[in-house]
Amino acid sequence: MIAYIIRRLLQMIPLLFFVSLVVYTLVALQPGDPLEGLIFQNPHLTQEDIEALKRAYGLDQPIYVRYFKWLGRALQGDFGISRTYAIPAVEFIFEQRLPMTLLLSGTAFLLAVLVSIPIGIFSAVRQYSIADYVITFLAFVGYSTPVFWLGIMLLLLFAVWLPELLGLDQPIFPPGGFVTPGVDPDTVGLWNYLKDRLWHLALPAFTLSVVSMAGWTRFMRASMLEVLSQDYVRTARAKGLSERVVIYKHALRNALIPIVTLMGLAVPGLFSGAVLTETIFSWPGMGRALYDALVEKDYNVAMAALVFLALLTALFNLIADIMYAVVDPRIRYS
Amino acid sequence: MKNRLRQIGILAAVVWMGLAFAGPRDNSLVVGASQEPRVLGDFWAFVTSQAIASEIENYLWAGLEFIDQDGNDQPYLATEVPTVENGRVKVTELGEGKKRIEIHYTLRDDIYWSDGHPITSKDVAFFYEVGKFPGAPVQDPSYWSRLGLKVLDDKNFVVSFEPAYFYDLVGSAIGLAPEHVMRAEWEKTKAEIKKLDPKKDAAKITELFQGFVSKFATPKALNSGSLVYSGPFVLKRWTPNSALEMARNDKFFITPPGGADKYVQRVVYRFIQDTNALLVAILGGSIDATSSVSLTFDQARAPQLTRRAKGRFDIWMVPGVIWEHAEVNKFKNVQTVSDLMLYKKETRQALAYAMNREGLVKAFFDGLQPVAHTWVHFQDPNYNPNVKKYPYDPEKAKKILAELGWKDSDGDGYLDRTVDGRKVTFEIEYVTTAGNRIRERTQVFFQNDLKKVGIKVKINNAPSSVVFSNDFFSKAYDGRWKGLFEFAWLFGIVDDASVFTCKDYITGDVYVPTPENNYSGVNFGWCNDEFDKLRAQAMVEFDAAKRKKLWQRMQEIWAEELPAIPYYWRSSPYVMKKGLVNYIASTFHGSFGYPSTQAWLIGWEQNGAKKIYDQADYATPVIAR
Amino acid sequence: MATATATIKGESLWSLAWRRFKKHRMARVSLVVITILAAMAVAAPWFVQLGWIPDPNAQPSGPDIGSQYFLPPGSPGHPLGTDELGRDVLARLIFGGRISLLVGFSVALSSVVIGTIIGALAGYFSGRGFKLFAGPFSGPYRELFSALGLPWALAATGLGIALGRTLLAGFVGPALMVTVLALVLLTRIGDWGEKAAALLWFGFAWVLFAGFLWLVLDISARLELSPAVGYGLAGLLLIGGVLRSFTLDIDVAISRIIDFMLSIPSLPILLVLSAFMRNTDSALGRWVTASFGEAASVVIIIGILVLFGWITTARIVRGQILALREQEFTLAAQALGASEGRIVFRHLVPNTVAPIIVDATLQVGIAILVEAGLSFLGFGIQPPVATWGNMLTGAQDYIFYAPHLAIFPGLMILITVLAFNYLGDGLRDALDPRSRL
Repeated sequence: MIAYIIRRLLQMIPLLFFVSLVVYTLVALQPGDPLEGLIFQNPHLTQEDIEALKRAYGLDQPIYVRYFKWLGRALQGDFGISRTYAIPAVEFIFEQRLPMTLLLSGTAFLLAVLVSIPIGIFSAVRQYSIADYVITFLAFVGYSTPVFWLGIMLLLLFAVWLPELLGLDQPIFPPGGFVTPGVDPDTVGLWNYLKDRLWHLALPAFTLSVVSMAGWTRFMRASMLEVLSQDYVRTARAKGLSERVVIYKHALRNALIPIVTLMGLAVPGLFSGAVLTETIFSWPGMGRALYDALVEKDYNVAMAALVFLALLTALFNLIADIMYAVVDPRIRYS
Repeated sequence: MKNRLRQIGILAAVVWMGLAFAGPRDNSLVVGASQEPRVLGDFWAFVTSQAIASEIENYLWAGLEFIDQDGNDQPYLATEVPTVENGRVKVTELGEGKKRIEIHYTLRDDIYWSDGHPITSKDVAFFYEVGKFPGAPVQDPSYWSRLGLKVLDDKNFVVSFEPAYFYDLVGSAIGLAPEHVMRAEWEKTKAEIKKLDPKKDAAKITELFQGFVSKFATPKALNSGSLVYSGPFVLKRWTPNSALEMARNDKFFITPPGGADKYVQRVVYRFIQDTNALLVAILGGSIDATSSVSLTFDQARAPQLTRRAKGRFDIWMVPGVIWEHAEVNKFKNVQTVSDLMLYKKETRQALAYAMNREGLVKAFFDGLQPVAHTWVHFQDPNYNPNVKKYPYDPEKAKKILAELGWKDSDGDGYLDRTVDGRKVTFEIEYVTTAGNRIRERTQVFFQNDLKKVGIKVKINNAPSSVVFSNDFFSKAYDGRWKGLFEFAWLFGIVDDASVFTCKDYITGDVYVPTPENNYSGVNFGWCNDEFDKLRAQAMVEFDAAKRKKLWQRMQEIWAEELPAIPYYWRSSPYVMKKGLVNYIASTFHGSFGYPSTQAWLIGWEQNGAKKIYDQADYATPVIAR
Repeated sequence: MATATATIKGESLWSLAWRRFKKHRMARVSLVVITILAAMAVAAPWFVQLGWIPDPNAQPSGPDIGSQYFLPPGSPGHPLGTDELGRDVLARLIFGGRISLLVGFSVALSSVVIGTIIGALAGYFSGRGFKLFAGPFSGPYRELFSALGLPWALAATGLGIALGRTLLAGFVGPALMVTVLALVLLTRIGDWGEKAAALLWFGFAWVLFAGFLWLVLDISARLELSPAVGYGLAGLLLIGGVLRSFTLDIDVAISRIIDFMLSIPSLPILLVLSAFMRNTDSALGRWVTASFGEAASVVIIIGILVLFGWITTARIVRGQILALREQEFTLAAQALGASEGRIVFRHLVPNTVAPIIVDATLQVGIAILVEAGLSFLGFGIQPPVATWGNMLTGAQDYIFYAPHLAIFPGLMILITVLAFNYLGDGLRDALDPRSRL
């Protein structure tokens, strides 16, 4: 087992190298370059000036040379300075943006897990009941909904319609941001600050969690149903064990196996996929940072974020495989 | 669970609403902005130059001069504005039409940084030293290469420009940076830079410069007190993605009438990227005024806002110096251009007569964005109101086109003519940035107008990153775009007409992008020798009256030749709560219309601030429809 | 008097499946919904011609143009209102559906076809190596050389080298085509032909290897690494390349590629790829815009979605094939002398068709959602071509005074994707042999 893990970890290295190469090339070949906006501030920049500026930003070298230079520095942990924020890219991504995304995605993940597992079990146990049909329908609707539209609809509901209907001057949930500007622990006290933060977190986290919640509920239900139809469950029932014990002690463990893997694989997706939610709710997270960096051609930030995401994805794929092996005694890796 | 949250939400909202109406009550100003600066205090613009940053920096740092709400130079840190008349400006002829000027500034005696350190020529010299250092990634190399500095004593210094242009006298000729705070870090950076080769390691050197600035100008640095301030306010705290708070600087040397305590003591910027949320905040009363970068034109006129405005706030449309226009490809070598005779001024005049610009402005903007006649703004002191204008006159357009040889010979409703035996239909391409609603509406509007005179318009849009790329925008000579190209220029209070200059008689540069000069410049095929010669003269004419005459003749030529079709001047919307005074957004305030210029005068009437300027003199109010 | 004997009819797989499918109520409804949507999409241009709906790109004109924007639903002539450019929302919804459905179907179909081929190949050839490269002094090469005899061996190798050089000279298309053709032809001529094909392939690979060596040297020169490092690396590679051979297992290669593709954060890469392909600065971008004109962004989106879409199908098919190839009927087919291609595609793949169909249906929904997301961000299909996604792009800005612009496009996406998901669920129940219906 350990040997398997080590082998997989070693295999990750060329994988990451290749991913970073492909990603860097694609990012570098984006249309336009960071300097094109300058001609508008200065119509009389001569060609010489532009060449000098190109040199100043390291844009005069061919791509593969730029890649290797980047790689050399990246391996030392230096991802360069963000061209637009003037702070090191690593600091920008990890200190400023990553915690915000962790907060959002983490809350969404937790919400999805806490809701989907019990409801999936419930739905499976009460198969063919009205509740089951309703839950199944809602689940289908949930993962057929485009997440960004859901966000806009919720905004419409809570920030526009309901307040108007109820005659409120303030929205029920804020239309964006992570905190009310000007509210911080010093001015209103820690408790109010936290409440404000939570108030802003509610809608985006809910929006982000819906798709996962829906999918996992269905999956949990299917997995549970499959397990409940197995012979050993019939045996347990025949033995006279109470339904509760049958479900929670015997069936659940086995039903959880595939879903735990699924959830593990979904974690990296929550980071990069949050870009849509972060856009709608103006949440200053990593997905948004990556998108902005791609649009503004801030290569350093884009590469730092992308490499981090690739690393995360590869890592969680490995973790999912390992968990699968640990939890399912039938699987043995050598 | 969600119910509980909603209750908490409402409670929090109510609690927070108490703070919301803080404005006049605690003598503070809350400004809403839809963009956030990346850095503040990047005196040399090594990292980036953003409008919102310049606007906020007006609160924190003072320059030698400032531009007041009427567009005039006023002394700020300097004792007086240097002019030829008061002997502070010396002009010397260098021959070949070039001039050199020397500007003598004297700093006031009562100016101090916010830590008590006096502001002296050392701060100017430091600014000069850093910007001039080889390898500095400056955005305007021409300025730095012509700049010279001689320090006479602690309060006196002479700035020189060689060759000099008239706009060197507009606004502050040079900037400052707090030497006593930044010197140590600069020495370290200098040592690092010296180790590198400017040719091979240019990128690394750029990063060193940016790193130097980021030690002082990033939110983290500023929050820990990295910089000192010379303006009416100091920065208290900056929470990125949220808010920025400034408090009155008691070391500031100007006292407003009645005493500083009658005017705002605190200025808070709220960064709300989502313009919807910004609108909500304005409606909720938590924002006292908007920044120059906030609401869109459509939003400012939305019924939501205008209906709730009465008695609470004013909505103003301030004329800006953004010139919306359509460039015309006049390169004769491009087949389409020669077929359609776009290089002839008569064709362009016909287009201008056929396009109902007054109608457009009325239909889309209720007339709030005025039609432009030349590239010079109507509030510019050099404006010439008596140039040839092109009011909507489709009959005249048809006549001109007929004189040029166009007729509808095949009855399809569009004009055509024969060129070298080929039949050519008058179909003109119209390019602009995709996704810009106003521009797309404008295209369709003019498409209809031109159809009425028999001209077919082919719309061809692409995202701005594509149309403004060097490969597309600058290659009109190669026919990458063949007809009209609608975009906007941001002219400041200083415009040197380089956009329409063909040959710069002073530097010898050619501003027409062709393969010979590697496609640099933005003059798309209009060369008028008289215009160029006048411009060369005006560039070095330091007498305002004489320059005005030259400039007016230039506008006459321009209006006659019409190298581009002027559309309108874009206005910026502002929302201001009633009772706020001296928060003035005017066309040239602070060069680009920043209401944060003269911030020491901003206050609430109900708290005793004296209303010195009236916004109504500089803007048009938007009334509820 | 003749008594009609009741004949027991056997049911084919399909009629059985259809019977089971009909029991799934939501799936039946979904089928109807999808048919209606597809019919509307196909008939849309006729609707415009008949005057039932206005042209989706028609903008208002005339002096009162200012009042034609943002009309609310229920306005005369515009049952669902108008948008920020005065265009009719209903017309745009219908035409947007055309594009969304087109993208969905194309992506699903292409992904499934490509995924099936790749998955089948991976599954069937798993465990069997394929000699990718054999250096001029390696064992395998020498064996082949002597087995074939000097003249033919030289000819085959020479041809391979020539083709490799053509490839590097820039004639990518023709070089690759001729190489593949030659390899296929030669392998069909039997044992002798197979050896010649192998030698041709090696010749080809040598040129590529030489090019790779040159690249290594060039990069180390430009990075200004010390000559010892550059030449040393090149030397090692050279020795290795000349003396060794390299075997590739298709399954391993494809699995690695799948791992690689799954490791890339998909949404950001889709953004990057989309912008890259629309970039007219690059040859690829220019070719795309030149060939497809306005439809370029649609083709690009389909292309990049397929690039990520084949993976799920490939995995499913690979898994199935791996299991199926151990079964007796495969052995029987092999014993009867069927060619491998025939075995894979005529016997094995048809047995995997059930999960493929289900997967294809679900892929349509996923493709529509991803396209909508990309278009919403501005990286997908560009206006004026209307899709449900890009109709939502600016809609957030107007939710105060024109909420209808945000509601309808998203609702259509929801309904369509929901229909496909239910359809897929119904199909899964119908085609799953283990189902208890």
